[in-house]
Amino acid sequence: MAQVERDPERAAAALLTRRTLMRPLPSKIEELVGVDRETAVSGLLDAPLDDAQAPEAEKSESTLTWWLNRISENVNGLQERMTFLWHTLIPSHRYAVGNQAFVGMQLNMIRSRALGNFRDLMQAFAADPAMLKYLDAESSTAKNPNENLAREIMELFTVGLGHYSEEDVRQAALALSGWRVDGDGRRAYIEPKRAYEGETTFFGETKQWDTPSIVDRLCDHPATAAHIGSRVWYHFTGQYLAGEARAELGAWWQGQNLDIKPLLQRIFLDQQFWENHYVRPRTGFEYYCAVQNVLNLDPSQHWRAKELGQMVYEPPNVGGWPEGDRWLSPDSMLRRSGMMFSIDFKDVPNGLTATTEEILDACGLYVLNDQVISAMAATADHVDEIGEEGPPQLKWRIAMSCPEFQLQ
Amino acid sequence: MTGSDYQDFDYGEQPHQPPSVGPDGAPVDGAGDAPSTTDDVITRRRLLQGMGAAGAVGAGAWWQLRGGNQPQSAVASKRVDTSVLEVGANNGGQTETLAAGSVDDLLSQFGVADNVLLTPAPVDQRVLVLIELEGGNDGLSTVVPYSAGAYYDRRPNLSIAPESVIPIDSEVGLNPQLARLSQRQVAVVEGVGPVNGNLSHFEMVERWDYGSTEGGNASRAGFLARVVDRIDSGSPVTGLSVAGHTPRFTNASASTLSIENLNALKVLTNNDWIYPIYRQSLTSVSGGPVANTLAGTWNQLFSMGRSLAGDIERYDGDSPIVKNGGGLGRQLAMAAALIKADLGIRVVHARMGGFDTHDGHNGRHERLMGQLDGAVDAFLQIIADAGLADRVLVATTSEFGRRVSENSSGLDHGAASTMLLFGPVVPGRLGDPSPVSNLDNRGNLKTTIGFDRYLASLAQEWLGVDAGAVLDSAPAPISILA
Repeated sequence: MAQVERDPERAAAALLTRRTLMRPLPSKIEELVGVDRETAVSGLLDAPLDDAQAPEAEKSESTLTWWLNRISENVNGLQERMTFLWHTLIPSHRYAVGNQAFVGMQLNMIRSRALGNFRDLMQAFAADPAMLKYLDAESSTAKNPNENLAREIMELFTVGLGHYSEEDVRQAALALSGWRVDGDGRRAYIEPKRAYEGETTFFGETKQWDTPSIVDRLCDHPATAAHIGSRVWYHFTGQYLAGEARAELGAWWQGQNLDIKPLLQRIFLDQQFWENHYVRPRTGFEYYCAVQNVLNLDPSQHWRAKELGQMVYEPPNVGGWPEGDRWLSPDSMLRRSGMMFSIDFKDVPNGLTATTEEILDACGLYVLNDQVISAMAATADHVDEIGEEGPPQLKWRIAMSCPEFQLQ
Repeated sequence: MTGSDYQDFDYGEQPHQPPSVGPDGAPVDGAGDAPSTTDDVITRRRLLQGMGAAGAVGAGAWWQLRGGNQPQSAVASKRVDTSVLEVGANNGGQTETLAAGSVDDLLSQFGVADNVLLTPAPVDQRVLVLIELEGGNDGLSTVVPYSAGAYYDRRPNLSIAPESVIPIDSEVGLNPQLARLSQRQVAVVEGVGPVNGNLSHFEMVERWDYGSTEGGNASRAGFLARVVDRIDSGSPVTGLSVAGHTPRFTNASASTLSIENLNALKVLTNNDWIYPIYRQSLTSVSGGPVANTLAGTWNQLFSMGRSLAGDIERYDGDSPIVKNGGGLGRQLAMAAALIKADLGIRVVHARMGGFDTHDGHNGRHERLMGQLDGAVDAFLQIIADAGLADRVLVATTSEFGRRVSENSSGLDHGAASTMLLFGPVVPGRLGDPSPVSNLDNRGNLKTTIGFDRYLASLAQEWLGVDAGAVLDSAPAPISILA
């Protein structure tokens, strides 16, 4: 067995495209062939945002279909990827947000800030009706503060475990109390008579804390930059930063004022980003988007993403979806191969005529094991069993099931 | 058919014949004949030992091996001392193929294993099979309080006549449809129900799913997820759902597999040309730890597919488990095939719907019990034939029981119900009966064993997982094992 690099220039372009866009279109790969890294990365970061607005529909189904269409349109693929990443790091569940129109509102909020500033994004989340509803903010009053929102903001979305005390949680819960989410008026607001009015002591400072000042204080903490920065790092490189490297990244990003673009630029130009072609599993939704990209499936078929274990806006819990090898479980692989065998390639452009080379190009597979290529070639020996149209179909299935296609 | 059709099973010491029933559920030719010579000798010896210990021989269902004619006390935590086991008297003609005095006939009633009572395998080999009876199973129609006047008073139309039940003791008996299972080692756990519950399916199912007495679980792991994570040994599949997606495994770190149809594996089991090609392409490694993990996963799946190939065919067609057990039978056939494939499966979740019998209770519940009987009995037979009987415990769950008083033709949502356990359990009545004469203010049976205690028993007693580590309420388990 040997790894084959079919085309080194396209292999590099495919790596960048696969990791930075939700839809790694072959045409995007072609655009980047021969372009140096700095120029290619700047091109990604400087592309104009897609400012199309998601429908704030009372059936989130149409909102999510709209988003999948946007991902498919690929106007700004990095914006879509960052929207996806922020959603997975700071998730809400569409059936737990009261009015499902809040899904569209949150999606618009994230998409417009996806490449902006993390502090700004976090402030917007902390006032976002969907998230407030999802984290039970409404049931937190001065009299009976509910710690859910305060705890999750600290544990999951900002500083991370180990950087706050239980007393900080209690005090922050008081400071964050009083939220109301108005489904009909489609807004979230503080109702003064339910909010705690006195001073609280948070991170050693006693004053009149409220939601924005709590979020600000958390974003000032170096642990936030290290925590969130390293999660973004993992998403793009498949590597977990630890110890000094993690702290250093945090301090550096803090110095960049938590602006998101410089962080991405640093990651995309780091040697670690380019070192290995396949570093982490594609999650369920990423795999769905990759298949959608190759086969141009109708984006309303997003039930397939659910079957693959990751429907956006349906996280298993507030911690989001599991990361890492979990996506390589037997369950996951069976679902993926099952999906491959459920697709009728007659409906796919070139589904019954594509050659091995064309299929590998369409799949962005410029680096792969020679066994995969020879397995695809071997299908031609079985025309007797499966007819003339059989081998191409099986080749597609092999290409989109092979290890390389499961990975980022 | 009566339970005696399954008389000659053996709890797992040597390979055994497949179930001796034909496609229609009737015994096939020769099924009722005397056991083979080897079995004969062994079983005669066992039987005679049993006779010596008991000093009297009768016939009856399993629980009568314990306690003779004494009505079973309903106190929890009772353990059986096998040295004082005795064979009970015939229980009023329920299993009447027996002619007293004939050893061969006695054998046909007691063709069972070594120490008479099936005892559990070492804890790290045990498998828990949970069957969720979805919709709220009526405990009183499952284990009938046939001596309670209040039961007949409140259910003029929907009760089961005393002469129909399969008696467990002088107070309660099994639903007549559970005839096959009555011949196996079975325990009934009475009074299991919600803690501070309400009557919502959704909320009560969620509490069972998450093992939480309080509800509100959006950010938590499923109960079975916590269990499999405690016993995870890195095997290909630790938790298996044959019921499709289940929140019970939500957020497990251990490997869990959810599969609704063994045919999904067919692509992996295909023996013709596609298999080597597909396998070759999927198990190749391009280097790096992630690719290695992935190749390992595919290799496991292919091995699994290979070792399952025979079973996929066998349970596809007219096998008794599918024929008699319906949808649950198909699920349990898959579970049996996967358990036998030695993948490291320790927890299985299966599900049977249809228990929400607001109307037409009699006919519907009767059919459901018949399917449960067919499915679980055939499953246990497959397991026993594979020599795994001492490793597998089947336990039912249901979100709640049903109202004691009937509406016109059905029963509304209730509270406590009765759960069933099959396998190496203390046979007979466990739990704490909730009397029909002492109901809560909605007219429902009061919970005497919180569902969390029941789950605690399955986790701690059977799987050796500390209940406090997987259930926030840290309930005290009840003893269930033989």
